[in-house]
Amino acid sequence: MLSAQAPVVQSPLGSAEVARRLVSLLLQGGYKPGDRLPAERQLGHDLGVGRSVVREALRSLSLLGIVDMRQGAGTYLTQVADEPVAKASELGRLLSARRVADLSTVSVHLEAVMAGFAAERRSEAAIADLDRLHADVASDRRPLSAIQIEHRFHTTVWSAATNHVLAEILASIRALLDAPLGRSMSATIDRRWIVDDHLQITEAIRYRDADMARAAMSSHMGRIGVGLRAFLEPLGDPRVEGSERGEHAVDDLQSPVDVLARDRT
Amino acid sequence: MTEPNLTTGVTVARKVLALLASNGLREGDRIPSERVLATELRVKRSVVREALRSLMLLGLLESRAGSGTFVAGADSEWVSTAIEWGLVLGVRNTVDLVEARSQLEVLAARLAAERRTAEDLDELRGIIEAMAVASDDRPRLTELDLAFHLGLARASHSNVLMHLLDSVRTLLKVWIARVLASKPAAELQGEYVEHGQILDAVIAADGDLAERLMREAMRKGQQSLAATLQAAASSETDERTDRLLVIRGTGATERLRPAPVLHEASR
Repeated sequence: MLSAQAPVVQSPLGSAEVARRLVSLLLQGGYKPGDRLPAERQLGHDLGVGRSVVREALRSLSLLGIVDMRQGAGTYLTQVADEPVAKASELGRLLSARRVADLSTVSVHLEAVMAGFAAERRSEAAIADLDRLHADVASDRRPLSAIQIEHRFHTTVWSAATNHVLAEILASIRALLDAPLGRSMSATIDRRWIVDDHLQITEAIRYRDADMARAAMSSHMGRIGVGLRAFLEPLGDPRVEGSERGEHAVDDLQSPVDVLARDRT
Repeated sequence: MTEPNLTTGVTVARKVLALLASNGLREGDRIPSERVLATELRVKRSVVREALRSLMLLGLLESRAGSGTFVAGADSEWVSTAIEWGLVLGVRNTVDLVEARSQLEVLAARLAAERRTAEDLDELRGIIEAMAVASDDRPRLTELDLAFHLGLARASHSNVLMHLLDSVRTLLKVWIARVLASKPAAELQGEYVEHGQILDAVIAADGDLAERLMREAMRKGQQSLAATLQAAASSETDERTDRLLVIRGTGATERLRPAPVLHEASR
């Protein structure tokens, strides 16, 4: 019923397209958080739309926390500290099972890549960070949930890997998957083996063994995927079926099982 | 009407999302009316309307003639848009971008081998055949090179990966063009052999091989880029070139702040 194919009408501004072009423009222009954007007239010219459309688009972006319109002082790309809606974890709760599968495929692969980079490039300071994290977790002074431990560990590995772009991509994906992961973890995943996985990956990074780091990260992500699948499956999410690429959604979440099976035999 | 301040806007937009999610809505579902949302959130309708417009701009909501407003469907681009905004708002530099692009291309090659359809293969074969006969037509070869990478990304059947690659390529556009321009046409054309081998691996559904071949192709590309960056650094001697960074594993350099240069070059 809901998928009735009524045509998608332009939003009042004709704006989704304007926003997309604006992202491209800002990406190509190399703007950074805190930078001042060109004047509205200039943006309108570059995007091939009227100034009022640009103004509407900027206004909407400011409501999303992406730009900051300062009265009489121009428009600025927001500082990350403002937590724009585009990065909000609330977004993740709206994801279909198919989309969760797609995001998790990309993140499983990139997490393994980053673990390999971390092993090749880690500084002594990065190792100290990882050790400190493990000490915090072990001390239990401030009990952390499984998902908090996960976040802190992966963020630390990304810093050790020193690729900001991949870290940014993974952070966005993780924010989106936060809700489904959080629910699946509390339901099905034992915190202790997560910590064991983390320790194993840390050792591989410490000894600069990139192959081992990648392999350990892959099986770790595989185990997380099993939990995610176990969580999504009983929901019988109908959105997986009937979609042209629905079969991949299932495949993607099954492959970690193979990893797990291999590990145990 | 006074301008709602930034914090209110962000808060309301997030509250709308949280409310939709707690009502069990997912991609493709119809959302409640403005009036209902306003009542639930205890804010004015005009404030809700603003928030909905912003979320439409992000591509997260779409309105359909005569049937209301919906959470965009699972084929829509909002997830990629959200990740793209993350990239816009995050730290980035050319070295990391080049490396990220390589890794994404490698994943695309693997997934393409695992998931390609007959139509995907037809398209990719067509591109390789065109490359083989394009001889020294440089613009055509450049175009086909891009078409091959786009075709592989499509064959990966990962919406997220396809759009990520697109954003990262956009960011590297100027550099990729420089690398291609610096190569002799003969070398460009020779690449069809390399691309053909990747395609063979994809046809054979051999993900490991496709991944390995793409990694090798990307490594060569990175070397060419490194050489290009080095040439650029030595030929331009303004104040921006005095802060140089070594590209990992290649010994070449890049500017620490490539952004302004990219901006000028794209004009």
